[in-house]
Amino acid sequence: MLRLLASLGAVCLALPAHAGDWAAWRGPGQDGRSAETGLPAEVSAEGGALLWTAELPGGGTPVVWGDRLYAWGFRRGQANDAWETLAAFELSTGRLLWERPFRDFLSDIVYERYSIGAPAVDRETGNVYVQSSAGDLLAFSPSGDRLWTVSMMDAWGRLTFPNGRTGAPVVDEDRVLVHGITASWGREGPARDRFYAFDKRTGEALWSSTPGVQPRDSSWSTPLVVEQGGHHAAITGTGCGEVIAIDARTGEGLWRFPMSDGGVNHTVVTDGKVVVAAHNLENLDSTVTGRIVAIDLSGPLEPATEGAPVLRKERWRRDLAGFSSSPVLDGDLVYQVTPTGELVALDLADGHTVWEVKLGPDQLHASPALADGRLWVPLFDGTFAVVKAGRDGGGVLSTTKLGGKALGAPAIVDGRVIVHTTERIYVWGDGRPVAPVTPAPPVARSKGPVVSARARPAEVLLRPGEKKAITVELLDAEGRVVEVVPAESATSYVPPGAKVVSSMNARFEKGALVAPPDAGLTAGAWKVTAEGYEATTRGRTVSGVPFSEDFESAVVDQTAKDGSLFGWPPLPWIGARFKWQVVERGGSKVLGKTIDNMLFQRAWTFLGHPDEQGYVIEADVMSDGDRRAMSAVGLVNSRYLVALKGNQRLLEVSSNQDRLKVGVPFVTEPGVWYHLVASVQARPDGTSVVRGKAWKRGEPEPADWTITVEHPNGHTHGAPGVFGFTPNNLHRVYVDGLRLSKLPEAL
Amino acid sequence: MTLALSLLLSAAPAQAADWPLWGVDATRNMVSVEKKAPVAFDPGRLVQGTEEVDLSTAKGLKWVAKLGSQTYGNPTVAGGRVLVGTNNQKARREGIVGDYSLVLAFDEADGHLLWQHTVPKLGSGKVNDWEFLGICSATQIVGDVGYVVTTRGEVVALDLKGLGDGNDGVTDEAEHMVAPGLVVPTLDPAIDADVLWRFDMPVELGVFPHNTTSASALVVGDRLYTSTSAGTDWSHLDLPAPFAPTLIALDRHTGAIVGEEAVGLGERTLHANWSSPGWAPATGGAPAQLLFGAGDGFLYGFDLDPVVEGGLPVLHERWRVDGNKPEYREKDGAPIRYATPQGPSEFIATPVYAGGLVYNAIGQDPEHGPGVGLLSAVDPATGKVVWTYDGIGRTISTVSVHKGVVYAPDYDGRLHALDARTGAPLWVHETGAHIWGSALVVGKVIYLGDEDGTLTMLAVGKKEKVLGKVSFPAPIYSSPVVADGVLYVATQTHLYAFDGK
Repeated sequence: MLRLLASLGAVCLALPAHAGDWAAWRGPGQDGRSAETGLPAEVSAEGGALLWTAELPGGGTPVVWGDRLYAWGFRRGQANDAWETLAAFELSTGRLLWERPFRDFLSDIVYERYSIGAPAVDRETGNVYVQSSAGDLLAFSPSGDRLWTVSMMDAWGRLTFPNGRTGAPVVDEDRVLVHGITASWGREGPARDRFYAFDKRTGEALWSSTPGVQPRDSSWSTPLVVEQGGHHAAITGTGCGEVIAIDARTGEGLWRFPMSDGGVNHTVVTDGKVVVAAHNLENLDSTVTGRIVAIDLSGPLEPATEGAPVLRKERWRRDLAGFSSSPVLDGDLVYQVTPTGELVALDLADGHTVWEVKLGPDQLHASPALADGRLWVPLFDGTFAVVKAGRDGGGVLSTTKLGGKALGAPAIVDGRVIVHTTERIYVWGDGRPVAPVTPAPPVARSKGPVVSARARPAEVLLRPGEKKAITVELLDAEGRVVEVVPAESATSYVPPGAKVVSSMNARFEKGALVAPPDAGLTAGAWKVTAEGYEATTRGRTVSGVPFSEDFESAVVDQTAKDGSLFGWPPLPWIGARFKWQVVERGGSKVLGKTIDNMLFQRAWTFLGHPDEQGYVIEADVMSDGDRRAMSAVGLVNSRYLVALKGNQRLLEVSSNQDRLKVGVPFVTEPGVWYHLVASVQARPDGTSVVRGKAWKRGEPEPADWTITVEHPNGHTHGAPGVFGFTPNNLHRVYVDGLRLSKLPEAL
Repeated sequence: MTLALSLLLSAAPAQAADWPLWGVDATRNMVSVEKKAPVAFDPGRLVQGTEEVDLSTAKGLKWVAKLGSQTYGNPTVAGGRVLVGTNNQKARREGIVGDYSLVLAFDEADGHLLWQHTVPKLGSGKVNDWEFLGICSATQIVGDVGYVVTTRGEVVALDLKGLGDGNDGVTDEAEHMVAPGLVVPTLDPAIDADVLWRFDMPVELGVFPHNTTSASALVVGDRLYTSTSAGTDWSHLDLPAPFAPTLIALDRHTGAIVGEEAVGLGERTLHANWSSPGWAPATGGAPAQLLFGAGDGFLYGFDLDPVVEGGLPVLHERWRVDGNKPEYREKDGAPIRYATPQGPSEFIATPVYAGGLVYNAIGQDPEHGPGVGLLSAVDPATGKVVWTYDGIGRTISTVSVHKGVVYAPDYDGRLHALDARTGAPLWVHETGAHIWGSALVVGKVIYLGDEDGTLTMLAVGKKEKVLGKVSFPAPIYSSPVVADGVLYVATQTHLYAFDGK
């Protein structure tokens, strides 16, 4: 780490003049600056410089690679139907080339707060990546072919939040980086703001990293990748209320700067000596909200018991706020739009205000861009202001009111200024030809020497009978890959400090982990060797059908705060830790929802493969309660929730509540076991039929389904799971006799 | 009228110049009986690098008290005390550090702290008890008792004299001062509040509060009325407790529940029931009523006295009117989605009674942004709408009615002046900043704070006339009040008491 400190500041900041390149949301320099000149003197929603406009609601920034503009937006269908989409336009003409829809599921996203973020283009392959608001990380070819998908929700336990907001993935060398609040299993069971790297060609997990501490909030800050102190560092705000730097090649936590009691959401900027960051929530060391700070990278690092070492040195701080609007660096000035709509120019040397101008009532996510001596500033209310930049700037050159709200930043490329609002895309310019782009060369392998090894994939997920080749990446001192070799051995082991002693039911055979046909639901860690190096990975076997779990084999030997005994939930379940416990109830071991932590009054828990489809899930379920209040318990099948909602007196089918929510009256009594069944049938016409049935346990099964919902353009697959919601943590819910079976063909 | 109401409502009537509850009296009409309040004052600047006010730069400032980092609560003043809700970012009590909600009681004479009521967060995050919001409820002072609704969903009666005269009422204050499982502090009479009784709405009634519990309770006679903030969950659509009441009545002496609405409001709630109840006196042959701007976007009149129905004491509905125009609810036969700019809204502002009419305007959580609004004037005797005004945007500000003119701020940052009898627009003032709080009328001056931290003073009357603007170092989300000749302005971070001297 001393090495890092000694050489901080080695950041290349020359503005690259990449014609045709706005491959990521902040442009080629990742800083909102464009080298374009000769931009329109004035822009307006219908003005002469408007080259083209296209109707597509969106909440972010389009990216450009050559004559291709990719925009992440959403479309509305019949009734409450809506879906996100990646749209490819021809930049020169505005012609729509293709669209690829993807749908929301099991999320809390409200009020169509979709597509808040941006796609990212890989300069080598031209492939384009986007993370959906529900958390699916998607890779597309330039022609729109889906290359791979990682379901971050049911594979990695990524949480969603009502405002959506996934930001932008970062394509860096051979990796795609994302981060978010996840709670999965084992050491990654506790919720943390985690970083993940996936192979940009295959989607295979390279590493996950937990450089921070317990999150206070969510964050959708997009990392800034710079060379720093011999590290290829990704610097970003997190839900821990910190600015964090990790090594983008290895995930190693480099430093973290605690600055807020809430999430830090914007994308930071740096001149190599300081990192300028802002937030709009509580400070840790004052009694006002919001701050802009210049983090001094020369500061000492304090070792920490959890997470990366702590950096605290500041060059300056100001009691100005920035919520998720990102700053722009312009030599010795930094520009920031405050939550109350003031564009402020600060002196980078000492933070003093050089000038400020109020442009609108407020600013939320939208960020300015700098080009041609002007700041191009979209605002939340749809105002698009152009302001003179520089030390003598601040003069408003023009303003126009766009249709919809602006939540993203302008992309400025090829003489064009591009803004995406919640209604449409606007492209202004003089119509000059679009410059061709030169693909980046493939990432060169390092010549070594090898200093460490990393098992690949970072986590294995196998269904019964499946196998996965395990390789070892040999890395140099800077985390670059020297060579990828087959694993020579893989040995199951229990990591120190594991709460549950468990191993993954698989064998190592011919360089691969192989799950037996009766693998069941298991999880564990592996030590992997190759060419004298040792690395670790971990994995789960998840059951297909049939599967049953009655919890009777669980060990109930833990003591809760109230003195009661409990057992840990099955280790391989995603998002179960601290939310479910195995408890004794009526002489039987059952799964009970915890009610000791209000943060966990609701639990989404997954226990299978994200690609599982064509199955039935059923279980005995029960809610405690009284005349005033009960709780809700349900089963997840293929991205649908079928739940008995005691307070509402309903049996309800939903996915995202805004997209699909259909209930039928069903009164449940507190303290009474019911049997609940949920099936999903994906029809060839794209409609999914969700069926639910419930009855008192012990009574004859009703012949008919209690609820049947046809969902056009429905979900076809998704991990099975259980759901519990104990409002105000007053009354527990329980699950027992969980079974998965194949969907009957008779349906 | 104001004095008469005070006599009616309070066991120990407040002085005419006090400001003992949100809206000064049960009519909630923010017009002071005082003839004038300071107009020449300056909050001064903060000492650089600190949060202390440099008093040498202030003018007309009697005292200033540091609050937390977020203050939405409106001050109330009576019995020589000034009470305000805030958060605990300025920690004052040993062992209470971090995110708590507070009611602070200051000495009216010099602003020194007398006691604080400490409320731990529910811990469920934004869905029920948003981090750092602090107490939003204005404490109603009746004699020696203050009644407040906490961010945990409790209704609490506080001994205005604190623990100095002994621990009256319940004696479990210390264990309720921290979240369950934490070390219980020792009660400190020098700073801790004396709780007389406590009623927990989520626990007792199954209420699921949305984001926070915000209402300012209203005491009328022996009863206390409050809304419950019952609303949606994370999805902003699902109502986890649709049969829990949205409006209740408690015995103000014991905290026992003595009535609740049973008109299905919990099932119809668009977002949350945050509006504070109002009151109308007997008028036009109708008895005095409880007024409620509800989470379904309707304004209701209820009888004050509960009646037993189905074994439960319930508040009987006299009338309801939709606060939305039909075209906000539906277009071409299809419902318009909530939280869209053209869609329907609920009531968050408090209904005001003045001159025989009830006034209130619809709005939404500011986080939903601007949208269409409507101000309605309703005859409480008949439950009929007398006029509406759709020139206003969504608002969470409560109107003030003075000498035949309604002053109604909106979230867009405008102050609308209308003829109180007809709704005819007289003038509109643009502040250029979002407005959360309400306008105060004292004598010939309207005081109005905004998100930019500007307090604008305008002349009452039928023509727009700006008298002055004063800039504060932090946003103003609460409403200015006046008591005993002193103007109180709470910014997010400080409470300023201006005497103009």
